[in-house]
Amino acid sequence: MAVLVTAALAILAYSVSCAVYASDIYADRDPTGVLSRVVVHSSVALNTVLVGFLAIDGGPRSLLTNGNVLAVLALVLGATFLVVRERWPIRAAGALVTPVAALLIGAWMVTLGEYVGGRAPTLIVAIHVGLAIIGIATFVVASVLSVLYLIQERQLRRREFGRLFQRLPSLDVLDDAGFRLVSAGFVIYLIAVILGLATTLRSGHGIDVRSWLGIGALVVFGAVVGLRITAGWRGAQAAKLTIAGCVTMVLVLGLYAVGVA
Amino acid sequence: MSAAVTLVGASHRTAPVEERERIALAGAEADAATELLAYPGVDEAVVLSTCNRVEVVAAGADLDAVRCSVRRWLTERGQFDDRWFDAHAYELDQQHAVSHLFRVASSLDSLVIGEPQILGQVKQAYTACAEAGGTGPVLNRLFHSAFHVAKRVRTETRIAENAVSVSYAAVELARKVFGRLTGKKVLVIGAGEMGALAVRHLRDAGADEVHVANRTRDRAVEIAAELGGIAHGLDELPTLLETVDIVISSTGSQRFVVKLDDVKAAVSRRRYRRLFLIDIAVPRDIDPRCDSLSNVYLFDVDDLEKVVAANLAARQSEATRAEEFITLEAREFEAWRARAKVVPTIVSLRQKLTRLKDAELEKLRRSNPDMDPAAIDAAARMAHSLINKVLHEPTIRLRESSQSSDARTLVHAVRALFDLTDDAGDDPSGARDPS
Repeated sequence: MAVLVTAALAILAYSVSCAVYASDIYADRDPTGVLSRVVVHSSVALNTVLVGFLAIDGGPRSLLTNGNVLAVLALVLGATFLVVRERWPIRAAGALVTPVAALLIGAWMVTLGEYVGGRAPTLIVAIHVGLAIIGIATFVVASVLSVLYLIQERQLRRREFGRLFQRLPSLDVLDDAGFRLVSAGFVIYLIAVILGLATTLRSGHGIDVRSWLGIGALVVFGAVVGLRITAGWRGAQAAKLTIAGCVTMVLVLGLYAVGVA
Repeated sequence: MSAAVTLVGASHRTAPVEERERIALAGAEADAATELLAYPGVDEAVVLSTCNRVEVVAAGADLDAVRCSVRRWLTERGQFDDRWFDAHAYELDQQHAVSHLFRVASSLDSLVIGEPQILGQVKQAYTACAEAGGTGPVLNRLFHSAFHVAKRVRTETRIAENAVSVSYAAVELARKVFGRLTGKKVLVIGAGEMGALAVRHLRDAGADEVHVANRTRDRAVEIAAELGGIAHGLDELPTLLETVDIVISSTGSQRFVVKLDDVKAAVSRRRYRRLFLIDIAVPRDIDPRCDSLSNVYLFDVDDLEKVVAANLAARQSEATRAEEFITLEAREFEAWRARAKVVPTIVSLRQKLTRLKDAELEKLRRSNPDMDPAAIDAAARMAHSLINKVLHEPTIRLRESSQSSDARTLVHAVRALFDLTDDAGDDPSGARDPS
């Protein structure tokens, strides 16, 4: 019961965070800035409590079973945003990251019955899943920045110099932050995929649809990183490719969450 | 103490420049304030003279007398008649004068809302007039309140943010593309004044390398020397486009100086680094199709004007918030002014009773030379306590009356009853802040 109440509170807190961040874009005054900081930290704290309950309930490795992964991913996503927010002036991204975290916890609540008794994974699988979660969270934040990039560029191209234009960060900041996140996520996710493939092949199972999609997403992100390093490729195209990679990644996650082989 | 405040003047809103210049003072505010003090009823005066306004803020006991005197001084100075005055000037009294001064100091009445110079000009005018002895308790308090509210408006609203000049709008747009401009390389094409101004703004914002390209190399060298940059000929443009980040073009050419093919070729050679192009020439210098290229952002003079218009609109909406501060602060000043009407009477009354007490104690000492000093002290304490008790209720009533129309009647009654006529009006003690 306490777990469900905490989950509901975390969803509520993330939703409030989203509302505050959205109003923050339009108001952008210090009190709203402080408020957004307080509510997003509270949301992540509640999410941590939720994950703590789950760990106490079924042991640490149970966090990495299919259903619980969603709650853990929400936490890592929130935490990644907090770190990124400190590093770059991209407060506006909170308006898009927090609802994703709320949705993930909501999805965890919906699938709770099916997975609460899930089998604890081996250490290698746990590392694979853990790294994949961090990678996905990083890609999601990078995609959010890509969305903001496309919005800001569109406003520049269309000469819409209104309030949203004033509040969103510069193209360089969004592009730079997005690229660094994709690079970091790519390395982490690459290790996760290698571990996952090694485990799958060692166990004698074939590579399933989810794995192929996961590899596909990895290739997309690899292309973003590789083209940037070799040809200086950046801007709207890179942002669109990052979003495409993230959509593929979300599809993989969805397939894992519902257990489709 | 003088409590009535009036403001008389003409500004860009009411009088064209050729009319304003007839009464402009240009650095002679202090002399003007001294002159004004010689007029009947004027106890305090501050004169503000800027390119957009000439205003006199004056205080005195009799509002009508102050207003008439200031009006007379202005008409004499400008040598115009009442008809001119009615058409081009304005007279504001009491809270209207206070609110207007607050709006002026906060830059809400400026030609460009939120411009920063006006506060400095108001401060300068006040200081000059105060040093010349033109100010007293009312205007001192009024101007310090004006500075306070102006500071609040600047720090608590966004009224002073964002560019309101075309040349600075270019910097603002560049910031939206690059974020920080530190280390960015700028190329200015042509010898236009606005281009040079934009480059100076970019330099102030952190851009550190300036290249100047011009049709004639000698002129390029000249401009480069002015801007601290490197001179080039127009034939070097394709190479320069590969290395610079920001291009500002303002030539008088009838054809495109920066061609689509040159920019297209530069984009891949510069590894898709963003290129920010500003075309402030009419006819345009840069092929408008460049804006469709990836990571190339081209803005012309119309776009910059759009930025300015959007920023002005944003400032206007902030002005609504600023008006709230002004209303609050004006109300506070009015409350202080109301209290100031009764405080000299309260002080006089207390002084009179204290004098009576001291005289009676002295009489007691003289008539009883052998009296125990402790007994005299006890009598002094009792008399002091009695004065406090007697004055307690009248003081409260007088203070309360300051917020109503009864104040004048009560003050007159107290002065008549206690024969305070000698202490009336300009009791120096009244100069203290009654709050």
